[in-house]
Amino acid sequence: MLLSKNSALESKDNEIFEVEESIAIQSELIKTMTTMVNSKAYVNERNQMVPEARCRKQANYHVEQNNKIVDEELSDWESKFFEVDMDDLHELFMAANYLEIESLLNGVTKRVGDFIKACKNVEVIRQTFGINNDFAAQQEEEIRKLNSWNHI
Amino acid sequence: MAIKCIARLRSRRVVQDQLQTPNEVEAEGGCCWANLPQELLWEVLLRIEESESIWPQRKHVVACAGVCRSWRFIIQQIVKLPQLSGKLTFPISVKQPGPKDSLLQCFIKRNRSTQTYYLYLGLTNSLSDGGKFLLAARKCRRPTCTDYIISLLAEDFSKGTNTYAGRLRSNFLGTKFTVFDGQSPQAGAKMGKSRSSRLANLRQVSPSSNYPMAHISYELNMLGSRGPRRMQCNMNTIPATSIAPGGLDPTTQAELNPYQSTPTSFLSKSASMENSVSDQKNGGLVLINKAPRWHEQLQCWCLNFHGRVTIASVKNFQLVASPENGPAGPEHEKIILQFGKVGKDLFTMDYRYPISVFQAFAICLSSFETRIACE
Repeated sequence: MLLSKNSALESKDNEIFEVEESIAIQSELIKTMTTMVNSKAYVNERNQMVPEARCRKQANYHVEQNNKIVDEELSDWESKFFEVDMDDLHELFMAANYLEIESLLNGVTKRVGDFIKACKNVEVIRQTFGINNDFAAQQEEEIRKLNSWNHI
Repeated sequence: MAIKCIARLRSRRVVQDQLQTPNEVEAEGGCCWANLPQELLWEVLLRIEESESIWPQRKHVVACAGVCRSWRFIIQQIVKLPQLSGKLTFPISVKQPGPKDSLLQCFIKRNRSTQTYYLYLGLTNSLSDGGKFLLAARKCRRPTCTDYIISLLAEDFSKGTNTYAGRLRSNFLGTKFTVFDGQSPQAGAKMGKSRSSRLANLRQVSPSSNYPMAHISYELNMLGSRGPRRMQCNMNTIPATSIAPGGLDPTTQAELNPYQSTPTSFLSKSASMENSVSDQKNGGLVLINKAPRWHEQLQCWCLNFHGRVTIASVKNFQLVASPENGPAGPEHEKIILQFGKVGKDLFTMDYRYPISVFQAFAICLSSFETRIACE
């Protein structure tokens, strides 16, 4: 039986992670990069990563756990994993997008949606996400009045 | 070769690093979510739209459209017209044709003391569950006619606002009615032909410039007041061909400004209510009520309402498209609007493409008002 090969991945802040190959290639980006070199060379391959060390680690953990536990435990684990504040969630989002990890992207997208739905109204959504209201005054007034229909 | 590949990837990454640095700086300033890449924002909003498909959760989709311009743009691209999705989302959905594939089930509650009618979208099969409020209408009796003012708000019937949807006006006898749209189709066309303009706000229009969009008439049938009345609805803004496969879509027609007086216009040029024949010749859709059958054993007139109407009433009706001077095809068998009594002040209203829920509601209000064949 072949020992699973490990990839060594280096993040932008120069931390090195040893990751099982089967997990590393959950990231489409890494998979693309590793298939471009011959099979011997990608062992201990070093890649520069942009995201921070911590979220890279989290991404690995996520993928690792995905492979190991059954559905119920997975959904419990996932809800705990995504119980992070807005800043961390944003980092996870950027990391998942950059590394092209589909399962992580799905999880983050859903979590962001949950945050939006938890907001009582439009103003709270803006505050939570730090978004400016860039509507013209008249348009804003029209939207506001029509939105009262939304809540009847 | 391998080394070259790595080098190229590394150089690309270096370039990306440089591009991303300004974002990182901004991120530290707390604007990270506002700078979310459009494709990621799209994924988030798409997921919300798909998961929150029924009311009251659908309000989250509408809320997202009110956050800022970029969110609004994305939501307007994602949300499909009711005729395709079968879902009502924005307030403007009440003016858009209903689903093509099936009847959309609604119900009307009457408040006799305030002479107000409330239209709801049915959310479950049980009528005792609350529905999603859509429109309200209040009766205003005048010296020579009666008006029903129709509004997007349950208690506000003021006419100079963007929540005023239109009105139904009855003639003195209660035999002929005109449905006025409170929003100018010309204003809609001027905003542009894009989907986003169709989903845009209902613009404020002065009450004097209401636009006649339909004429409804009631007559006695051959049996006089002992038999069911005959109804005819001339839908000026809906092409007759819309019910045929591959026919014209009323939404597209609205964008092409039907109020131009060209020979090809299917809008009757005269504003009078006596236009049933000329409307049909001009190409507007004509709806007529399906004739009930006399049930000898039960000694009453019967229509098959498929369980949606449970109390006999002269107000109950089903509307189908009238064949235009030719043989009736399968498209003339489809029920386009069905209305009937299920409780003391409770009525069901089911409608489909090509009419909108606003038009359907107005037609039902005329059934409340008319005195033809009421004994």
